[in-house]
Amino acid sequence: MPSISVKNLSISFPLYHENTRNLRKMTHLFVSGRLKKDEHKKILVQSLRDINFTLNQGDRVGLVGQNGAGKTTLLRTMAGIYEPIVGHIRIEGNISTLLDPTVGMNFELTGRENIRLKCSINGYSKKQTKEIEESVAEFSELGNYLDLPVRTYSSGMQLRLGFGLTTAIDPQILMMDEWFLTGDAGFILKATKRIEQIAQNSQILVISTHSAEIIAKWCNRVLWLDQGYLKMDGTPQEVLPIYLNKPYDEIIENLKE
Amino acid sequence: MSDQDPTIAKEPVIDLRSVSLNQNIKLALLDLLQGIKQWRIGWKLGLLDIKLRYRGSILGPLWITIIMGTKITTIGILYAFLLHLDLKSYFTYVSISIVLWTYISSMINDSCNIFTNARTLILSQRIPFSICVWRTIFANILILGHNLLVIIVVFTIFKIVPHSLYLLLPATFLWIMDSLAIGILFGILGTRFKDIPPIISAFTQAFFFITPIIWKASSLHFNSNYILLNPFYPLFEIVRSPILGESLSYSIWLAAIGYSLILWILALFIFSKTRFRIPYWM
Repeated sequence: MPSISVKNLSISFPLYHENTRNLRKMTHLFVSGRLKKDEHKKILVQSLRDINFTLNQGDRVGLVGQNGAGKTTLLRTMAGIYEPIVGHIRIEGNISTLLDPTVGMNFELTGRENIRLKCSINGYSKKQTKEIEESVAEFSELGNYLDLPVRTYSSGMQLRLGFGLTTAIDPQILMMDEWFLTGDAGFILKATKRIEQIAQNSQILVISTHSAEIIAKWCNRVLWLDQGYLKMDGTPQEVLPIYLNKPYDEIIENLKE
Repeated sequence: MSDQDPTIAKEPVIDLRSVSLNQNIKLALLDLLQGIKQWRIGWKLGLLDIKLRYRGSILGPLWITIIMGTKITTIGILYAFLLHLDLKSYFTYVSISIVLWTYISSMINDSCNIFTNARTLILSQRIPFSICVWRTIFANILILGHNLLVIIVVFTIFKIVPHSLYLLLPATFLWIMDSLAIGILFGILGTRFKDIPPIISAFTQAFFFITPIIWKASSLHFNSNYILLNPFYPLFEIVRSPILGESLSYSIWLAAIGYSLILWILALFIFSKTRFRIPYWM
């Protein structure tokens, strides 16, 4: 059964400015015996601070917060990309992530090559790869473009390819940033359908978003990050009114219009 | 907690926490093991890198062979003439040396950018870092393969039959192990310190001249044992001597293994300490 549990998680990024990124100054610090001292004074950017929560099967989570609140960092940490230096995270189940539109694609390669590469990185069999290829071709409607380098694609086409690729196999845990809502109306409709389908089958969905609409539509839980702290964790009815400073009825009302 | 074993992406459970150095060594070794298990991914990535470099060019990767051929012909003829050497023996010696040097120097220089070049891949999903290293190793081995054609041509022209080739097996193994260690070591240093790539590039340039590549160790006027202080020398000798049928003393193999061990200890230490930091530096 898929689950994610996060305990006392803090993530901080060391900021390497001239003094530590530069070997000459590092050597100078070392020779003058100040390296240790400076090492401790190293500037850290606290991205996440002491986060605790557990996600279980059926949780469809909306991750909200201002820009720079640590949403993407939290998503990457939950995908196992950033390993915690303080705290503990345990992820059960296979994860699929849509963290940026390029999903690690190589722009010089053709769309098809990128699909195959991604499949082999994920360890899919030949048969699965073929299925995914077909499914992506159908979803992305790229046609012959699939055999051209990705750099020749428009951003909308890249988006369709990336989205189709990451959602081709129903993952147990799906994490995504909200960028997928930047396509045209037709794409958004299709993407919405697909996400709904995944949200039904899968198991844990985490979407980082600014949109109350998405949360009201898909989510049954909201995590509110503020300056790296987990400010609130509850149902949309509980969190959204405080986050948006509006009664919940009014938020829902706005959506219907 | 029952979950004492932190595992990696492919397994359904990922358990991550800050751990002791001891645990970090385990994780580093696990990363290396996963990289070997998933060598196909490294191979695919490396192959695509080379394919991409020559996509759209008429001769394609054959250019690698042509460039190497030109280089070896020029150096071989010029220095044999300048230094009054026997053309046949010098030409064969130089062709092997330069092909090997091209491999090792581009391996070292590429290493500095292994992780920075794989930025989008590393930040998009969890993968063993050693896969990125294998990618560079395979790409350089592919180039080496194209360059070997030149050696074959040279050997055919001069009608030379390579001597004991079976000794090349352990030598190849050592070279690949060293490539892996170099990739990890310089990959991490190059990601962390922006000054590393130009420094490395300057050093490899210098080593091209102080290592017996275009000159022979036998032409030294002083005790040639000092030359063992150059870590590249024994590595070159263990490949060159069996092909050219020269005798190889134990001390050379010992030195080659010794330098490799030092390299591996350094690489493993740095990899264990900083492996989890790599994505943070991106």
